Amino acid sequence: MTEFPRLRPVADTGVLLEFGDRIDDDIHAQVLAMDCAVLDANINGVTELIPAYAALLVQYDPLITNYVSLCEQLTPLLGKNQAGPTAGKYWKIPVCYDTEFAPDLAQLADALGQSQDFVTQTHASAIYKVYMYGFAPGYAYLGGVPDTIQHPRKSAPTMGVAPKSVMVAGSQALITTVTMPSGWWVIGRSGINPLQANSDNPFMFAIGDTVGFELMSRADFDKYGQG
Amino acid sequence: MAVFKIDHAGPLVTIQDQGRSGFMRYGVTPAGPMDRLGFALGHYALAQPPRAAIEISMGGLNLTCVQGAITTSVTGGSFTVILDGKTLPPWSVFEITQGSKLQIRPGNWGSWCYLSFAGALDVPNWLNSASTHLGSDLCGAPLTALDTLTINETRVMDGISGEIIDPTPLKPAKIIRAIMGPQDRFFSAQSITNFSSQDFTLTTEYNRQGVRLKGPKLDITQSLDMPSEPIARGSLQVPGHGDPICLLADHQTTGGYPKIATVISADQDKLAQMRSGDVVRFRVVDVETATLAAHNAQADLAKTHQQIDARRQSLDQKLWSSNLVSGAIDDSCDQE
Repeated sequence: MTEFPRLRPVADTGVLLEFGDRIDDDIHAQVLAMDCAVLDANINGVTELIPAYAALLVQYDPLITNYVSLCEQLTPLLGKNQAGPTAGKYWKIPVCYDTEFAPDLAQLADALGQSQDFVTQTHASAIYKVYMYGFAPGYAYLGGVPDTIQHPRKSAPTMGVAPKSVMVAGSQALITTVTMPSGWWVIGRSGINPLQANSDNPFMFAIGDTVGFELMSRADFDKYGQG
Repeated sequence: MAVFKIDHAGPLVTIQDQGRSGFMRYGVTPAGPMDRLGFALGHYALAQPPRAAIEISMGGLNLTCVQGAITTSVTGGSFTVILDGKTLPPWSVFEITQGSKLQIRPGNWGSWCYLSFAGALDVPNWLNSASTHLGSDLCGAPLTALDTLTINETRVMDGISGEIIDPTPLKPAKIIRAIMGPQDRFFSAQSITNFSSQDFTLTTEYNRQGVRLKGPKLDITQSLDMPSEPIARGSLQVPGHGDPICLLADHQTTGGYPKIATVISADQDKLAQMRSGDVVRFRVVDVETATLAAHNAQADLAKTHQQIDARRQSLDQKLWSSNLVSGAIDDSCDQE
C-alpha cells in the first residue's frame, strides 16, 4: 500500500484524498490545508469539497474535467506546505445540564463510575475542536472529550433526540440541530442552535474552530436559551 | 394559478428539484431526484428549465385539480397514468383542468416517476433548493392526503399533449458498472471476486437514502476502525452484516463503513429505477471507461431531446393540419 497522502477515484465524480487512517491532529491539519488550497485554486469542474477527519473528497463534474486531469492539478497542491486556514474562532456555548435535558447523564455516570457532577464539570471544562460535519445538517463533530468521561455509544439509538441536545460518545461531542435518532449519550441542552437554518450564514462553526462550554442554570436557560 | 388537492400519497412522495449542492461539507445531503434523467426530461417536454416537481414512489399519488388549468408531464419509470378514468401513455404531456382527477400508480417497471408542471410550484426553499429534506422539517415534508399544492405562473400549452416518447429503451438492464474502492482493501480476495461475478438482489430495505442488496456476503478482513469519511452518491458501503448498501439521493454525507466500490454516474439512475427483487450484476470498469460512459450518456440525452422535439413537431403538424381542414370548411362556408 502506498504512503499517504494517496488519491483514489470515487466513481467518475470524485477524487478521495486520504491523508491517514486515524483521528489525529496532524493528519486533520493536512486535510484542512488541502481543503483551503483546493478552494483557492478554483479548479474548473470541481463542484464540492467535503473534508473529514483524515480524508478530503473532491467532487467534480465528469463532463467538464476527469480523474487524470484533476489529479494532475491536485498533486502539486499536496507538495506545497500550505499554511492552511487562518486560526479558527473560539466559541463559548452555554449549556444547561438540568435533569430534564440530560436523560442519559445518570446512566453514563454509572457506567463511568463517576458522579454526575464530575461528568458535567469535566465536559464543561474541556476545549473541543470542530473536526468535520456529518450525519445531518449542521452536526459538527467536536473532538476532545477528556479520557475520564469517554465511553462508547449506546448499544441502540434513541429515536427523536431533540435539537440543541449536547451529546458525547467516545472522544467526540456534538450539539444536535434537528430532531434525529442518535446512539450518543445526551447530557445537556445548548442555549444556542449551531444551525440557524434561515440565516444567511446557517452554519455557525467553521471546521477547525474551537468550542468551549459554560454552565447555564435552568432559570437562565428558560430566560435566554429558547432561541 | 392552479391548485391541487392530494387525495392519496404513498410513502416517500416528495417535492424534488435538482437538489442542493455545495453544502455536503456542512452535513447537508444533496437530495434531488432519484432518477435525474427522468426528472430532467419531464421539464424538457414542457420546454422549461428543471424546477420543483413531485417525485412519486411506488406508493402512488392521486390528486384533484380544484382550481385553474395547467399543462403537466409525467416521466421517470414506466408508471400507469390515469386522467379522469382514461389511461395515458406512461410518459405523457397533458392538460389538467379544474375538476380533473389524476391517478398515478406503478406500471411496467421503475420505482420513481415525476409529475412536472408548466409553472412554478409554491413550496418551501432551503439552501437554494426546494427538495424535501426528509426527517428534519428543514424544507417541507413528504406529501400526504389533504395537502394542497399551489402552482403560480401557470401555462397551458396548446398542441403538445400526447406521448412524450416510449420510455422502454430506458428500462434498467441487469448490468451495473462500478469502479472498485475506495476501501476495497478491507475485503477478502474472495469477496472482491464475488462482487463482480455473482448476482445481487435488491431487498425491500430501499428508500431515498439507499438500497440494501443481498448476494454472497462480502467479508471484511480488517478491523473496522476507519474514521468517518466523506460519502458519494453510488457508494457501495458494506456494514458489519456483509451486504452492500448502495447510497442514493438522500445519502448521509459521511460514514465509517468501508466502500467496496462505487456505481458510475451513468448507471446510478438505472439502479435507482430498479425494484426490490430485481437482480443486478456488477461489472468493474476503470475511471476512463466511466468518464466515457458519462459523455456517452450526455450524447444519448441530446438524441432523446431530438426524439422529443420530433414527436412534438408531429403533434404540431397534426394540429396544424386539423386547423387547416376546419379552415377549409369555414372557407367553403364563406363562399356560399
